[in-house]
Parts: sequence; C-alpha cells; structure tokens
Amino acid sequence: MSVQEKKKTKFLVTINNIKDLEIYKKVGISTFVFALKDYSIGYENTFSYEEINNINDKKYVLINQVLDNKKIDNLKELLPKINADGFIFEDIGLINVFKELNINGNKILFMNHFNCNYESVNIWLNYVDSVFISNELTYDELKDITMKSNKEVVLHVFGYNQIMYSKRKLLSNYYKYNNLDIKLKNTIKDKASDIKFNVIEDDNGTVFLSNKIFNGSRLLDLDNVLYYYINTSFINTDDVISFINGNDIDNTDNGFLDTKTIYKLK
Amino acid sequence: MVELLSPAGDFERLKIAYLYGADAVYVGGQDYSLRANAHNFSIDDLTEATKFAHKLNKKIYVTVNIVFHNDDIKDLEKYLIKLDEIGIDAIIVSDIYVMNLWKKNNLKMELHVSTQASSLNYETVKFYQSLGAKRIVLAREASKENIKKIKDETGADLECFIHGAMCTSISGRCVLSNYATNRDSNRGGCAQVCRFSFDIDGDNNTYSMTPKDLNMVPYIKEMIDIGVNSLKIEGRMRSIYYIATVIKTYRQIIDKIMNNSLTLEYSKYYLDILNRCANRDSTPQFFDKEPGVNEQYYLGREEVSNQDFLGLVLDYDEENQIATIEERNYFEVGTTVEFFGPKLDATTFKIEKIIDENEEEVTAARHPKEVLKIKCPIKLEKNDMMRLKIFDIKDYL
Repeated sequence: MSVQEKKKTKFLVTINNIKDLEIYKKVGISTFVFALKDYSIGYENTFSYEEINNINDKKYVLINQVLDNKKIDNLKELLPKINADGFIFEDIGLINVFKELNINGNKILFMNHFNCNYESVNIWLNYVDSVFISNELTYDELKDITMKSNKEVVLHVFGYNQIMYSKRKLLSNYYKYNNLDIKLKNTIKDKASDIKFNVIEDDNGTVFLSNKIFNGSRLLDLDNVLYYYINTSFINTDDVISFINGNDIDNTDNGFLDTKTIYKLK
Repeated sequence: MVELLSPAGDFERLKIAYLYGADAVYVGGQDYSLRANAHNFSIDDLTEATKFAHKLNKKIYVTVNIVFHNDDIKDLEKYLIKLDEIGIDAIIVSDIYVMNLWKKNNLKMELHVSTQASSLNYETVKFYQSLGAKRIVLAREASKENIKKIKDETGADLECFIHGAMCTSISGRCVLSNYATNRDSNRGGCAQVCRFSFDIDGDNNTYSMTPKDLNMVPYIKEMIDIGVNSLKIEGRMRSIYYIATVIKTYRQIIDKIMNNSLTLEYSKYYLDILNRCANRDSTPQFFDKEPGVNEQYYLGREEVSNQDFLGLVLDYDEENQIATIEERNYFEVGTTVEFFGPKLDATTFKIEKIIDENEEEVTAARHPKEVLKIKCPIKLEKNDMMRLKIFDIKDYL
C-alpha cells in the first residue's frame, strides 16, 4: 500500500449528500462525518439522527454549536438514540453528558480556534479520545504539537475554514433592514481592500468561511494523527477527490502554515 | 451583595474606577491579556495597584485569557506564581493549561473562567467548577432564562457583562482578524474587522454587522434577583471620563435598587447619561430576546463624538471657593456645567470666572491639559469631574 493509500484510511470526510458516500468509498475513504441537524452550524447540510442511524459505514456525528441549557437538555434525550462510532463536539459541557449517559464511541473535542499549544492539548486528552488542533497555526507549531501530544490528534487538511461564529442573524438582519429579499448565503468584500469572506446563516446563527479553500496537504507528512479532517462543505466532489488523490486544486491556499500571526504592534 | 466590576487600562483609570464606586477592577498584565496593545500593567504596577485596591477593601483581577501558542507558555508558570505572591484576588482565564497551572501550584487567588470560553450552559459551568473555578464569566449570549438555570443548577459565582461594546461573534469563536490582517484576535490583536464596511451584492451596497453596545439599565434588578454575583463593564481601553460616568451611574442604580428607590424616571435619566457618554446606541442584546434587526448598525460606525468632558478637578480651596481644574475640552464664562464625583451627585453650576496659569482672567478655556482656576461655591474634591450639562434630573421627575 502506498503512503497516499495509507493516508486515505486516516481521512475523515464530512458528507453533504448521502449519495456522495459511494463516490468517496470508491477512492478508498472509509470514515465519514455527519453534521447533526439543529446542533451543528456552518456545514452545507445536516442530518437527523434517523438518517445517520441508517448509514452503515464508519461514522462520526458532529455537534459544533455552542450550546445553551435547552440544547444540552435536548441532547441528553437525543444522544442515547444515536448509533455512531464517535462524536466530534465543540461544547465542553458534553464531556460530562457523554460520561453520565455512558455514550459509546470516540469523543473528539473540536473547540474551533482553541488548542494552540501541546500542554493544553494534553490536558484535554485526559478527558477525551482526541482533539482537533487549531487551524490558525504554522506548520512548525502543528508539528511540535503533534510530536508532543500524548495521544493521536486531528488535523484539518482540506476545506473552507470556519473563521467566525455568531448567534446573530447577520445576513437576514441586513436584508430586513433594507427591505430586500433575504439570501442566506453570500460573499462580502471589504471596501478598503480585497479581503473577502463567505457568509452563511441558518436558524442557529451565522458563520463566516474563508474565501479560499485551505489545502494542508503538507500536513499529511505529520505523524501521531488520528484523522486528517476534510470539510467538504460547499466544495464539489471532484475537487475533494482531487485532493484525496494528491492532485492540485484551484482556489486554495495554505492558511497560516507559513505565516505566523502577530498580536503586539509595538 | 452584588459586585460592580470595572475595567481599567492603566493605574489612573483603576484609581478612578474604585473612587467612583467599583467594588472590583479587572486589568491586563503586559503579557497574556486580550488587549495586547493597551498600556496594561507591569508587575510593579500590579503590585502598587493591588496595595491600592486592598487599602480600600476592594478587589483586583488580572486577565490571563489569551489562547496560548507553544511560544507563549514558557514563562507563564512563573508569572502566575508572581501574581499570587502580589496578592491578586483572581485571574480570569480561558485556556485549560492556565487552569491546570493554577491547580498544580495550589495558588490562593481565585480562578475565574473568561467569557472567551463561551460558557452558555450548566454542564459547561459544572465542568469548569470541577477544575476549581470559583466564578464563570458567562457568554454574552446568555439570556435571562439561561443565567437563572445555570445559577440554580450549579450555584457558581456568575459574572455577566452589563455595559459596553459587544463582539459580533461568540467571544473566542472569531479569527476574522487573523485572516484579514494577520493579527491574532485570540491573543489580543483583534483589529475589529467586524466593524469594517463591506460590499455586498454589487451596486456599492454597504454591508455592516456592527452590534450596538450592551446596556442593561432596565434589567439590573432582574439580574440581581436571579443571582448574578458580579456586574461587569466592558472597556479596558476607555477614558477616565467614560469609566467615571459609567461606574458612577451603575453604582447609583445598584444602590437605589438596594434601598428600593429606583424609579422609571431615574432609570430613564441614567440611560440617557450612559448613552451620551458612549456616543453609541445601546440595547440589552441577548438578555431579553434574540437580537434582531434593531440590535446592530447597517452603515458602518455610527458614533458621534462629543466634547462633554470639560475638566478634571485637581484641587479645591474651600476657604476661597476656588477649584483647580485640568481642562479637557473647551468651555467659557457663561457655560452651564455640572460637577460629579465619587461623593458628589451631578450638581449644576454656571462658569463665572476663569483664571489661567499666569493668574490672568480669561474668557474661555481653549487649551486641553491647561491647569485653570475657577470660582465655584460647590464643595469639590480632587478627582471630581466637570462636564457639559445636557440632562437635568428635574426634567424626568
């Protein structure tokens, strides 16, 4: 088996349409992610627990909202009904819930933008099976973290990055204020520069996505990785498969892999 | 007793916050704080500030709430131990590594979980309690029902924002600044990209998403009743005038609630003072409903600056009834002003005589920071402030 083929067993691929499963399985993908309806945000499509239970492949359920009390209480009812190999979640309140309810499967913590150092990652690994590492880090930082993590971690390697999450309805508010037809997906451009963001809204709030698709193929060289995460939302399957097969794709960048962020201006 | 918690970007602001009625102040150190480009406090500053606070029987908290990268953690443990030695009352943190170091070193200061951690449900709060957290600063998205249930289920000390600027996003869940300007928002470099103006749908339409400010004047009593322990003001970069006005106003509101004398008329008056001071519209945001079309701006920044702050009282000669004032904005003989201070409610006065630094009588004060003397029969104290008179409580009663 080639290195590329081996890596395919570690790809964790989000699903937008059930019919895409067969397409991805044909190229060797075996583990999938389904964003849970009403409890996830920023994904192209979401799925009810019944739809997820009907899938016979290896599957993770994504719960990436910051949860209020009502949602936590509702999830206490819902989680025991879900048949999955694991859960990927944002809100740490679920750590206790999984434990109290004896929910089986891998628990992977995905606090978006957090977990930027190996010490924090290792503390979280005392509570969960794996942790998503932030995607706003350099290659060297990611390498250092993977090398020093006590368990295998998850790295983003492909997809539009979620870069802002608001509970506000930031598109429909604008259209209502201006008495215009509401669009729940759009692109905005800074008036003073070429900066663009993709904006999507649903009943749970608004998410901003990067303008370009993040291509982290270089990260496939790193070890101590449980999964390489491919977020296929708003990307056609041909481009996803091109990435999986190691080919070039248009409209991508490598995020912060070569760019250190700054925070003190002096 | 509910705590009134003020921000302070430097020692002068900290002093003003305490004098005007804050029970506690939160500040940032020169590292590890989310206002990386504020003046902030060195270890020596923090030592002095802590002594000052404790002499007044008040508390001081230090924010250590960045999301740490590998390079940031090297001296963190030493820093936390130093803060504990100084006698800081609490650290406000969001990264679990800081919580772990606090526990490992058995530090005396309290552990408060920052709003950056976005705690919005009782299970999350219980988790942080299990790590030793005494207090949780709830997400700004918390509604009244949410806060109440969290309090009922956990009994945790809860801190909620009551006033100031809002993040458009859930705090901590935004890296717009990283992508637009390469400045790391979760390490204190936020460039406020959400306050930029954007094109949308072509045709030069302007898209803006800036939220109006938070203002909880109508709901302070309810917040106290449901068990909020600390009422927090946003704004470590704000001026002494802003801090004095906002803290004094909320102090009066809380005190009136406690002695059952807060009326709608007073609430309206206080609201007008606060809105004028911030130069921005404000709403209760998430407390009473999901924010909608009326809780944000659509045309970029909509701030009209004013020059209400006229001067800071440096000294008062009671015998000769002469106030020494450091000027901040233009005023002249005949201007109707009002003084307010830590022990002084807003009191109206008409300027009759201004003496400049050369002991010469002048008709107007034209040079900010100039030290002037004015004849004034109102008994003033150092650190009282003089502002343009805009609102009169008599008009509300």
